Amino acid sequence: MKVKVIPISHAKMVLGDLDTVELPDNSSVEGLLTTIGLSKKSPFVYSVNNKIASYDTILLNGDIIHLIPIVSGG
Amino acid sequence: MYGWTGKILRVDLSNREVNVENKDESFYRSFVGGSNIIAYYLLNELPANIDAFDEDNLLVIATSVYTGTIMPGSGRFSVGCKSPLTGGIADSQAGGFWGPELKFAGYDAIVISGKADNPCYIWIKDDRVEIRDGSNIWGKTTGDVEDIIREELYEPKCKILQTGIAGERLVRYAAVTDGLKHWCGRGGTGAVMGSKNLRAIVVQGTNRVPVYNSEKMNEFAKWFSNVHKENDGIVFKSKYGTIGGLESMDAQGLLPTYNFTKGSLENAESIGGINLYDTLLVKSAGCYACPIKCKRVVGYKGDDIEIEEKYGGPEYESAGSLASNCGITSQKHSCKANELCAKYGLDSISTGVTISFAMECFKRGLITKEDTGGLELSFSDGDVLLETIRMIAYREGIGDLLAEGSWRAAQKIGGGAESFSMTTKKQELPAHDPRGKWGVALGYAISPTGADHLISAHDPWFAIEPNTEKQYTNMDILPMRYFGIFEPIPAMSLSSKKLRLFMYLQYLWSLYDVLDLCIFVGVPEYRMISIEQLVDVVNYITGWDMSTWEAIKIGEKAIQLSRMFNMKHGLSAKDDVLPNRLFEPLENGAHKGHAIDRDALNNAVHRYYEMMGWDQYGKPTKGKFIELGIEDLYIE
Repeated sequence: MKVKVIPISHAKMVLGDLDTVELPDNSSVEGLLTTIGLSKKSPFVYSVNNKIASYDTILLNGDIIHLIPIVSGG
Repeated sequence: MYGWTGKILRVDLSNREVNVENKDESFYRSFVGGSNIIAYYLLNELPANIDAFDEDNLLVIATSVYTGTIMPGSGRFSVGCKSPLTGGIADSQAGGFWGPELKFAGYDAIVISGKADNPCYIWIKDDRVEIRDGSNIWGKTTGDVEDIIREELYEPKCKILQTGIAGERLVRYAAVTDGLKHWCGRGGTGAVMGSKNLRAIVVQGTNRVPVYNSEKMNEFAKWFSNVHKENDGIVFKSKYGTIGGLESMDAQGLLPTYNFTKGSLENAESIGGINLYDTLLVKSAGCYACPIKCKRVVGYKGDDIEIEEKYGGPEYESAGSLASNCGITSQKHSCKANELCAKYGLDSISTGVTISFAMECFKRGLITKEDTGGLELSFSDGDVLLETIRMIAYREGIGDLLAEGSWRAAQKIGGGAESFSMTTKKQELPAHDPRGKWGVALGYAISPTGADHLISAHDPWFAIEPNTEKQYTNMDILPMRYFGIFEPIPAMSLSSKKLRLFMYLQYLWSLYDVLDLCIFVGVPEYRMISIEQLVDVVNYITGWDMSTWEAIKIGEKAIQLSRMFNMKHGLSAKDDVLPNRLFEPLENGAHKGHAIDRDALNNAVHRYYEMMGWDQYGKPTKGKFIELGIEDLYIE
């Protein structure tokens, strides 16, 4: 299956444009992170189809995943 | 004594008296700086329940052991008083250059009492301290005041701390600025300054701060100047500023929008830091001794709007409060709104959130055009936003009501308007919707200064697996291992584990405010400087043998002293609450449908009291003060 991955601001600076990523069926957010070279140790939060997601959220073909840097202070 | 001047400057404006109070090393070792020095004076000397605009209120400005050394991120200083907005303690920090200059002039802090008969400013040049006539600067914008004072004193390099027109007119959230670009925004310290007929404090010094081990200090500063470049989060902040986080907050669905009803704004990127970089940004700027340079300087000259570079540019909090929370998507209006707050001396957070409150009241018919003098006070209208800011600063028309802050305005408007005042302890919420980070919600509730996003770390950082791969910088393990916390904790939780995490992080964040250290240099999230290194630097500067334990307890001390001050001035457990809206689901964005669990929050607040050694009414116990060695400051 294919999912669209959109890194936001700082994540984009680190990862560049990722666009479409191919994954095995029933992959989770954690599986996606492994595929794109990130891990649960990376300082981002994730949304799937604009809903905040956890590492074990199962992805479906055509899902849109945002990689979002954490913000505090300012 | 190393690291300190040993002198506190006392200025009594009523009697036009200037004195120097000498302090010994035991005072500095016990209080260390910033928030602690402020709380010490306010708790010790302020009569209970006086009005914040009473001339007996004190304005305390304090530096820390780091100030004036080459410690990166040490350009900050603290300003405190009894807050005219919350009725509790005000304790606000800013960066810039003024704090170090005060130390160079030979003072660790200034305590200002009384009220001048006429407008004045204080001029400090080393040992010479003058209370000068300020009638020629009263009523002028902050930018004009800078120019007039520099010309009058023939001192182009002097550092100027001032309030603005808003402070003169007692706008309850008037701020204090260092050099037009650095703001002690919160709590209304500028209004207290204005109530004393004091417009500015100008300082220039020629001394240097003595450092015990300069070699180690230099080594550390050199190490940091390299290590910060390896941290991509900090590199991003250097390039795009704190406002660079706006797009992320929107994607998370936690960007305050339309007075905290929504968490995401359509076209939010148009007011974000990346857009700013490509459009109005003139340059980046920084603070004393800091290589990060996260400050923005913006400029624009068009037929519609002109934005002056001398007022810097918006931080994330300013854009979130003034623009997105008012439904504004014009970068020019966002930057101009920030500039107006700087020009008039207003806290951009309270200004934005008070105006978004008024816009919601207008939308619901609680405020009409009759009340606004014909102004269509609608969301998303940038020109209306700008005009309302001006009216608040001058207390003109509806601005006079809004100058009281949204909580007091709601009481006068009635009709349920209080439901739309997004405040805790009467202070407006910063630009972090806590419905996706519940530790921040707890911080807003229990903060001694009212809603504050810098009370403790933000939860999502600690929902991540411990990183032992040296992915970012120098630390082998996540810093919370120091406290025996090893596992990630979900952001939307107020479990027992979260409370432990919250409390220990609060000690640390309080320590940064005591040390007057910028969070972007020091906090665990960025994993640049370890807790142990922070303490090592204290010892390099002073020659002390401070331990990490002692330092963390010093952070806790400021929390306990501030709480005791609030108890003395009538605040209690009833004030540790959140606005009702936060218990209702967000209407859009990635956290759509999420709300804070009211029972979980109430339980967390009371469990937190127990952990802090407070009674069921939230009052610190004598035993806690004995543990911290501050029993002399305990009030029965």
